[in-house]
Amino acid sequence: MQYRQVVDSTPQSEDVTLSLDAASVLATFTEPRTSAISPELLHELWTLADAKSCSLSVIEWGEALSTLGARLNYGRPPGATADPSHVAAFYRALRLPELALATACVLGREAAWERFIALYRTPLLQAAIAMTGSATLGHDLAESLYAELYGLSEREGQRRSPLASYSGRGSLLGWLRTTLAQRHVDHHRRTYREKPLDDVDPPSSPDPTIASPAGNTVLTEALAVTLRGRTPEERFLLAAYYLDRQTLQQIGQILRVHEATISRRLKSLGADVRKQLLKNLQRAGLDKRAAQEALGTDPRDLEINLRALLQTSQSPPFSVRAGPKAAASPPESAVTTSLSDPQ
Amino acid sequence: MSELLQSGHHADPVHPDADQLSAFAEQALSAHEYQETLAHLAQCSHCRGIVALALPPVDETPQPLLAAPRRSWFSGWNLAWSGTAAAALASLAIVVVYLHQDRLRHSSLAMQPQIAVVQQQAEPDIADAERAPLRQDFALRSARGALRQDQKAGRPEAPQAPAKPGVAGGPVANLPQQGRNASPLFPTAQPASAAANGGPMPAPRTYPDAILNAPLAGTSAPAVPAASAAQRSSTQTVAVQASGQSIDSANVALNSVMASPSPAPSDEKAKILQYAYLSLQPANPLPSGLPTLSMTAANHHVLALDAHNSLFFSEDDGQHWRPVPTQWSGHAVKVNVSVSRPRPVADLPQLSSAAVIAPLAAGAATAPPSPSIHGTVTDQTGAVIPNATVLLSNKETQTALSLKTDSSGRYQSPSLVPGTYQLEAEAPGFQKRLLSGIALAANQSLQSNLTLDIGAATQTVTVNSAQSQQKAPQTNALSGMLDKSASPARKKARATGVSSLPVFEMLTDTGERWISPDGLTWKPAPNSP
Repeated sequence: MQYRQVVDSTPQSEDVTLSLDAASVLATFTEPRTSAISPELLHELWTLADAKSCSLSVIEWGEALSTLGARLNYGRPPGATADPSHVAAFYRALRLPELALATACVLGREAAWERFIALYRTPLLQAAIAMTGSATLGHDLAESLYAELYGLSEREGQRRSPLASYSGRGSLLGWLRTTLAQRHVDHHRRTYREKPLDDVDPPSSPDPTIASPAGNTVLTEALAVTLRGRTPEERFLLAAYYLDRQTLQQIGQILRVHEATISRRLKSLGADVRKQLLKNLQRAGLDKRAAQEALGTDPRDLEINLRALLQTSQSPPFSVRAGPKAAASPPESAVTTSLSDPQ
Repeated sequence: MSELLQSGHHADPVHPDADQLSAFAEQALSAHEYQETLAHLAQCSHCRGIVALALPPVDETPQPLLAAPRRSWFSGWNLAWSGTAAAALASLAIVVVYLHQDRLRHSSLAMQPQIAVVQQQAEPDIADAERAPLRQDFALRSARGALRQDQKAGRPEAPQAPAKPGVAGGPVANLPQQGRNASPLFPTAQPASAAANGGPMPAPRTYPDAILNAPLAGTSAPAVPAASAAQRSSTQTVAVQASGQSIDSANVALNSVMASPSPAPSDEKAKILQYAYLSLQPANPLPSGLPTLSMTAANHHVLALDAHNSLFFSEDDGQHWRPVPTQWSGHAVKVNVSVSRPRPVADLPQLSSAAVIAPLAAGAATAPPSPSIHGTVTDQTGAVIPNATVLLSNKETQTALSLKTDSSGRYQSPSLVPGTYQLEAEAPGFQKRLLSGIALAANQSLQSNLTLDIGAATQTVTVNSAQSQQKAPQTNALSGMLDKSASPARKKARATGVSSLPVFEMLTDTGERWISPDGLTWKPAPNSP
């Protein structure tokens, strides 16, 4: 009986404070999940998130936060213990209003959905049209995502909404755009697989990772060692620029730096890779002149699977295969490439 | 739906979900999550593609705030701007200094054109002459105000300075030669005599250079081009009065200050007023020993009014004074000269035409025109010839009068004695034209227009005057009145054929206007209230 009262007790105003009994009951009930969230912090977060406007109770809000914190370990590395200060900092750093809105939408609150539609329908539709390059496809993509977000799909008898995966670390609109991009890629992959048999290309050459000629073995090994020694950011730069054919502006937008900075980094990175590659070639037994001649080999004469060396995924990037942004990009002719200077 | 890319439900747990990717793109991940995601993106083209596809348009992406480049304070552009600013300031300072000096020059030189105008104006401006008394009154009031300011400033106070309202408190200078030299503005040795006479004498005599160096009109006054109407508007009245016998030096000086095209600074104006104040010191004190309130002079005859409104007359340029018995009810507050006559031929070389004509301008303000000759000098095309010399001579009385045409080519003779006259007009580049046999009767104003032919000045064209004269009879009440005067000096003048005595005027504080032909016998003016 007391539990029902607590669960149903939605604060009527923002400055309402939980009574001692209610707080103790809440703490007792939510002991397994919300032990890291003090009642004061919970109320503060509830107020900051304006969860009341989303018809979200304190209990529901607390449960959502507790689940989220446990899943993300409060922003701490795996295995690390989060003290109350870390917990509070983690929760305060979240986009609480958007998280509350997403949580309320997952719970099926009409007020939250109305707000969600009012806030994100137009931007989402515009993003879908921009991704697909077509108004029709964009509308279809956006509507399908809406249906999915609303939880039409059920799993194990429960309605599941992708909004439940939103953690509030980034913006809800960014999450929606990313989800939309995933759906678009998924759609492309499905349609790509549904090509008629007549249009199927003849079987390609066997595995591109076939053994390189003996003359290139040393260079391949040295290149693999060199690339493995680079930092994740450097390998991301090399892959995004040389493999995905992304522009400097796109890369800079992802990494939140200016494209000029990306250009400088790529230039210095190419010089370092070349220098390191030269060293590795010399370590492999080549003298300096032979190593320089090996580096001077025309890339078109090489059969080095740089993609295989640089990343684990062997499939070409989506931007190369399809999509409006890939239209202007030249197709990746082969796995061979060169570490040329960024344009 | 792809199992791989479904948000939050990866078949391959290695791939980050949409939440992590979007948080990565927004730099919202913790450090370790960021590095993990970045490492995954470096080797996963799928996720890179999703992240690249999910990027918002460039115009929606908030650009990272770039650190503003730190600019060194010492750079070429800064120096250039500093130099430009310094040059601009220097130019501004030069302009300000120039304008200031130019203003001072204007304020001090404003009096010089007045003297030049006196020499060149052949035709007095009747309207200005009529307004002259008003301006003099205003000038007196201004002078009184300035003197009060001087007194408040701790300057030497004029002894027994009258404090009666409506009466000018400044002493009047004795200007014995002003009628001949036509330079009443700047007497030469007045301050010393003023000090000797006990008059007010401010200690620091720091007069403006332009005032001290101003040339006398009778000697080498700078020539002014043909006076335009604009120039005459403000200075002619003052100049005409200054050249005539009805001179109040303080008035002239103050009028010159007020008529200055650009207002002089307060200190400069104070200096000018101070100088005008000093210039009013008489050479010899009045018998009453009081400062001079108003003074006028003509032909060595000086009429002065002291601070107690007593009138004194002198026939020897103020060397000896005779009191004038009071015949009027109020207090005399101002004296003036209204009428003059042409001088003998022997005196003509010493006189300029303006010196003769100027008194007539003042006289015209109070008396109707006497027998006179006027006209216009033009060339063959009808264009007027300004600054042409017109010599009017009377062989019967052996008198001659030199006139000059104004900017409109007109000339106007003063009141003349009836008789037969000869006109001789000449101008540079034109032939001299002689018009003889001009009979001038009493109460007659003749118009004689002259047309000059182009040629050498040595050539003379003689024309009979009978066909070129046009009668314009006018009444001359004043001349009739003057004819009734029976003073010994006037009889003497009549006997010699020269009517050069002035008609003195005197104004009282009750508004009465009295006139006197000799300065001693006074009678109310005909139109006086």
